[in-house]
Amino acid sequence: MIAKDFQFYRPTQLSEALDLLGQDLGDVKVLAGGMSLVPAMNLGIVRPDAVISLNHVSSLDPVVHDRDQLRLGALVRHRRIETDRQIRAACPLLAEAAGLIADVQVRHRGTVGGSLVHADPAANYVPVMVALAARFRLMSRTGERWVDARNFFRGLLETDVEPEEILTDIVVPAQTTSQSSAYYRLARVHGNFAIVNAAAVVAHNAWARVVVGGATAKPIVVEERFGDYGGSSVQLIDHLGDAVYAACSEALEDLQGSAEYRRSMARVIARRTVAEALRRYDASRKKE
Amino acid sequence: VKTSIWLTVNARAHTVEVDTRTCLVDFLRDDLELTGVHVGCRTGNCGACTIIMGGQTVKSCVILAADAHGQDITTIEAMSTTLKDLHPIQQEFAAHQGLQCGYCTPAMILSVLQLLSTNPDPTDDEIRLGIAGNLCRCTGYHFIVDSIHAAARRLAGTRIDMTSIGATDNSTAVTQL
Repeated sequence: MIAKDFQFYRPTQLSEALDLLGQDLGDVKVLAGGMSLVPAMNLGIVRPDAVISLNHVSSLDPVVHDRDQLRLGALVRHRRIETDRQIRAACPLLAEAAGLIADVQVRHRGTVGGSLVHADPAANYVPVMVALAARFRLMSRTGERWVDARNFFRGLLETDVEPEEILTDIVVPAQTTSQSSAYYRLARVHGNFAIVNAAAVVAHNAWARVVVGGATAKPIVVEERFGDYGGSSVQLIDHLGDAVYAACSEALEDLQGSAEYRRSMARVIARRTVAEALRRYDASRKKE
Repeated sequence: VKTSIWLTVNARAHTVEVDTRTCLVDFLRDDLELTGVHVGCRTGNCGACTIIMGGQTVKSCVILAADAHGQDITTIEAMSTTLKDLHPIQQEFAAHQGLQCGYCTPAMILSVLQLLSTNPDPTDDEIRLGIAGNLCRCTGYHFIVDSIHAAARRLAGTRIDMTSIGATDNSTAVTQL
């Protein structure tokens, strides 16, 4: 049993949840899938006075593919993102990263919004959402605002979400036919949190963007244009890797790896991920 | 703090008061005496507490009982009642020594059911990914993989319905114990 007692709220409407957040309930935690929050409560690391569960708010789990963008409710679970054909077709990078989260049981319960708001720096979605230029809708009793993924992650387990706000929607631009993408994670055991991970989006002969997570408290974003390298993808990959290495001067350090190891791996993984995205583009061309 | 919930467990409806601090695994074990649901890590890593909720495997140590309100839950207890009516997956685990101490086994069996419900003929790699959320510290997994291949062959052509596992057709099952 969890050591510290707490109030539990189970709203069925988003407005009810937002009203609760506006009240003085002490230290409040918003619960989605709970795959990080409940373990932390079991361990006594997080000791809230009140928990507001979003699992009974049905308006938070739609998936809408609208021409050039994909809109996900914050409560959409990883397994659905992994297996839904509509999502995989519109946004293969998102489906690829979702399928590599933890294990099947965790993917059945864990949610995209919960993972983003928890903001573990090595979470699969972190570099992916930044690389895709996703936008997040934050709602409170008094209104709503939109935040770009790039400005959302503020540091270790720290985001732009204010105490009275709830992340309700994630909007991701669909991948165009001139684009390709890849996700790669370095981990000791399959399903563990990554030591370093990276997401790359490449627009053919135009630009390449790579975002590295896990190496530093905030994701590293590097973008280059093919034109600046005479169209040479080899030079472009070299340069992206070097830029990632340069940006990693304050790399994280833990039992899984030293700061210098993470920094070196950040360069390797960034290069590998961009190369894979380029390879996929070529492969898709050959098929046609 | 107490809160009232209703839920269905192994086809039986319950309306109960639970302490908000109770995790689903403890509710199932202590209140409903379904002790086939095991407690391992309490952090969602080992998978010993795996159950089926809403037709999908989940880890019941990282779900609050209060949050399971309205859910339809199935535990390993629904799969068979005696040694004589073991589910084919359970029989193949016994036949191929897919267990030693047995602590991870009930949860492992449910993960196999989940795997075979969507992938009736999995490869070695697909099997290992399917049971990645279930740690076994005895077998080294090789005999578990063998057991799952055997179960897949046994169940070939059988549709597995995750929402009513007790209703699996056992008529072809030959008791091998």
